[in-house]
Parts: sequence; structure tokens; C-alpha cells
Amino acid sequence: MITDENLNNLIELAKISANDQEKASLKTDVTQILSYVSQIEMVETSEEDLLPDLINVMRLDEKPHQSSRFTNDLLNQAPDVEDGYIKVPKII
Amino acid sequence: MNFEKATIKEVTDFISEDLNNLDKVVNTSLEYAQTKDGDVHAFLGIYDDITEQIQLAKGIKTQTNSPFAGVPCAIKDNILYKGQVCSAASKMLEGYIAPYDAHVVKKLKDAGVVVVGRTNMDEFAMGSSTEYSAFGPTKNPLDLTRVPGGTSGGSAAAVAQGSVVFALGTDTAGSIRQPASFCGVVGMKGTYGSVSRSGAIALGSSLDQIGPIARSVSDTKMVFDIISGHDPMDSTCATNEYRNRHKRDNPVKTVGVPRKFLETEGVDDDVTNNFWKSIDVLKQKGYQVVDIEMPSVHLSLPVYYIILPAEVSTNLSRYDGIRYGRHIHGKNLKDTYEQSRGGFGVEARRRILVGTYVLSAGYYDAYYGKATRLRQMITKEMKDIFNKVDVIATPTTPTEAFKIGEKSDPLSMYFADLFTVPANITGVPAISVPSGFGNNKLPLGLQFMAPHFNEEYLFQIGADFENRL
Repeated sequence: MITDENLNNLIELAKISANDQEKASLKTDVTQILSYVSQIEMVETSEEDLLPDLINVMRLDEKPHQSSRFTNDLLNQAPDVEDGYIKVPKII
Repeated sequence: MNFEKATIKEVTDFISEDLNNLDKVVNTSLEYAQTKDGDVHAFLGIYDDITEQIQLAKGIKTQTNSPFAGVPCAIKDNILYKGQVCSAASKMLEGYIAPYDAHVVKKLKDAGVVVVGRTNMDEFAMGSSTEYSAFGPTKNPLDLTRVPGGTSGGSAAAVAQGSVVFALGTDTAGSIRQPASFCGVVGMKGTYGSVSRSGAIALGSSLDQIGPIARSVSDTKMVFDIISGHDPMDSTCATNEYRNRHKRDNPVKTVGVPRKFLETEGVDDDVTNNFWKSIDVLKQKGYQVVDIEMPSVHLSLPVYYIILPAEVSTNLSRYDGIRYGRHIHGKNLKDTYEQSRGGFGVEARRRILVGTYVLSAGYYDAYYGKATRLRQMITKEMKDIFNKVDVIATPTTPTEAFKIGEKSDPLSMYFADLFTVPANITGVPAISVPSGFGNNKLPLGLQFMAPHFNEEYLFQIGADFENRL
């Protein structure tokens, strides 16, 4: 069971707004989902399960695409642009 | 040629008779996508470059006689097609114009395929019914009171209603196979790493795969062969050398059946009966059917609902309202973020919050860490079984297509992925082939899973099963 404080904290961290009604149903749903997935806590795992069977795939940082090839397409999607820069609200 | 039921080869043969037939085929597809789609709502948009695409397809037909030239297809709304809207069926990306082609789209274009438009889906590919689309649900073309499945519900419905010969979907827990099963068509996802994810809007990056939905196993194989292959733009896309190392030469002979898994509570009798009938068919065809034990496979679903939300909360953090997508100008930066991200629908919010929770300090080990270890355990179990059998068979879904609005709580919706999710958790390829109808005359599907990078096994036994009639 997650508390109202937990939920508000998660909403704050995830930066999604929710009104009181939405919060109430999110609390019920998230609690239900977490209680369902909690069944894995009971399962024993052995040491050999600890390491994922994965390999790193690296490439050289080379052969970039032609400069400015995508610039306009990308800037056209931004809501607020000035002199080729994306404008961000003042932070401080 | 009956376009609504035609296979890729039939369409190509028709076009080979007369190049002008290419226009006819594409126009028929466009007409159906508009007239037939009224009640179904498989499509979110028709592309506006069809005339150019027809010209290109004609050129390719003349020069290379590609078996795909002029064949109309549709793609799910989370696959980028340069210059056209791609919204992942979300308010967050409403009107977003794709700045480049997805790798798979490039492959289709090179082969002369005409991509007529984009299909409906659950928002950001979260759901099992296409009811979570921000632009209204898709209905099952075989019964308009029922869901087409999801999340690639629009793609499956478009193929089933006859407006395109095949479609692409994405599959993170069954999102290709489950709607294919609900709509009576074939759907498959390759091994994780078989098809490039470059240009697919990310949901669960360690689980997502693009794959085909088509009317026959052989069409499915043709499309898969075109879209799969190494792509340097996706570092998780396997090299050909890596694939070949996993390839098995012997033909499919043994079929494993995880009997206990099939007895999970909530699996309909209809589905079970249909499954055992299908198994009888396979036996008659000479396959050796053996019982297998998969003691951890039932954990795939809870493991998935930890790993996937974790990846979702990470992947969806990029929608900040600053660079692209929905933007609401707020009082300050934080307010701008929060208001802009208010465009996420209810299922997206649930998963973002669950993901944020399981990744947060204090819970990380108990949830995400544990789920990762269990994922290893399930994968090892799967690999061990493939040392004993060639393929594993299960029903595709625990129930037939359910009614629109029937699943009101998230967990009952999640259950729809019971049989399909193990293939994503372990990365193995899987296919759903129509296996007849249940009591309500709705289609059911038979699922096969094969060892990593042995998609050929799925096509072999899938085609053999399909030819039972």
C-alpha cells in the first residue's frame, strides 16, 4: 500500500500533474500493480542468476552525418526557437 | 484477384500482368482504408505522398522486379516515416513530424512497398486492446463490439479488414501476436536484436521488436526477411555473424508443451480445447509432442511489470515539452514540464509512477534488481528447454477477443499477455498462427516460440500448421 505522501513524491519526481480525483485512482491502481508484482520477492534466486548474459557493443566515435542535415527539421518541432536555439524558461 | 484476401504474391502477380495495375492496387487499398475503416478506426492517418510512392514503386518494379513493388502496407503509429505525422497515439506527440525514416521503413521503401498510412495503437504501446489510444479505440473488424487486441490493434485490424496486404507492428509483451490472434491473422516478432529498432519510438528498450502482421505465414516470412538484418544505428541489432552462430540446421521435429503453464487460472476452456486440437493436428503431421517443465515461466508477467515500467519511466522522461511534442507554457520550468506532461493518458501515468517507484532508492534491489535476476533465471530455463525441443507451443492468448470496455482494472488487462510475454522477457522469437474459432465464432491463435535467431523454425512449423486445412 502506498501512502498519499509516497504518491505525491512519485508524481513530483515524474513531473506529471494530477488532480485529486486522478490521484485517488492512481493510488488504487499503483497499489494494486505493486502488490501483484511483489510476488517475486518470495522467489529464491541463485548466484548464477546474478549476472545478465549481455555484452557491450561499442563503436568508434567517427563518421558523423553531414553537419546541420537535420537541424531545421528538428528545430521546426520545438515550440520556442530563437536564432537557431531552443528557448528554455528561466531556471534561476 | 480478391484484394481483401490477397497474399503478397497474388498482388505482385497481378501487377506483373500490367504495370497500370499497380495504381489500381494502391487505389483500392486507399479506398478500403477510408470506406471500410469508418467503424473500425484502424487508421490514424493516410500519408500524403502516395503519388510519389507509386512512381517510385513503378521504377523499382521495372528495374528489379521486386516481389514487393506496389504492395500496399500500413505501419503502426510509433514507427517513423519521414515527413509524415508519427504520434504514438498520444497527445504528447500529436502532430509530430518524423524527421527521418525508421530502418524498417527504408527497407520497405527500397523494396517498392507503398506505405499507405499509420495505424492506431494503445498510447506509446501500453495496453492490450487499443482502447488506450488518445484518438479513440479501434474495433475488431470481425465483431465491432469487441477489441482488436493491442497494442498493434490498428495494424491487425487493417490487415483483417482487407485494406492492406500486410502491416508492421511492435511487440513488447505480445503487442503483435495478441492482436493478430484476436483478428484472425498471422503476427510474429523476431528474436530481440533481429530487427533494428532505429526509428521506432521506444517503450521498453530491452523488450521492443518491430515485426510483421500478414495474412499467411509465407507473407510474414517474406516481410520479416526484408526488415530483419544488422543495422549499425541500433547497437542491440545483432550482426549477421552473431545470428549465424545460433542457427540450427535440423528441421523442426519436437514440440514442447508447458502443460502446467496452460492450466493457469483464468485461461478459457475454449482456448484450451482449441489448443489441444491444434496439438493433435501437429501429431498427425508427424511432430513429436513432449511435455516440458518451465517452473519459472509464470513469473514472466510480474517480472515484466517491473522491468517495463522502469524502462517506460526512463524512456518517457524525454517528453518534456521543451524540444518537441506537446508544450504548455507554464509559470516556470517545472510548471512547464508538469503541464506539458499532463498530456499522458491514464495507463502511461500508471506505468511512469510504478517505474519511478521500482527504481527509487530503497526499492531498487527488491524490485528492479530482483526482476533482472529472475529474468536471467527464466531465460536460462528457456535455453535449457531448447536443448531438448525445437519449438514450444502455447495458445497465443488466454481468452478470445474481449468486449470493448470489459477490462476496467489494469491487472485484468495485463493478464492478456500471459502466454506472449515470456518470449519478450527471454528474447526468443515467436509467431501466432490462426488456429480456428472459439464458441463465440471469434478467432483463436496458436503460438510457437523458437530458440534465439531461429525464426525459420517458426515459419516451418507455422506454415505446416496453416496448411492443415
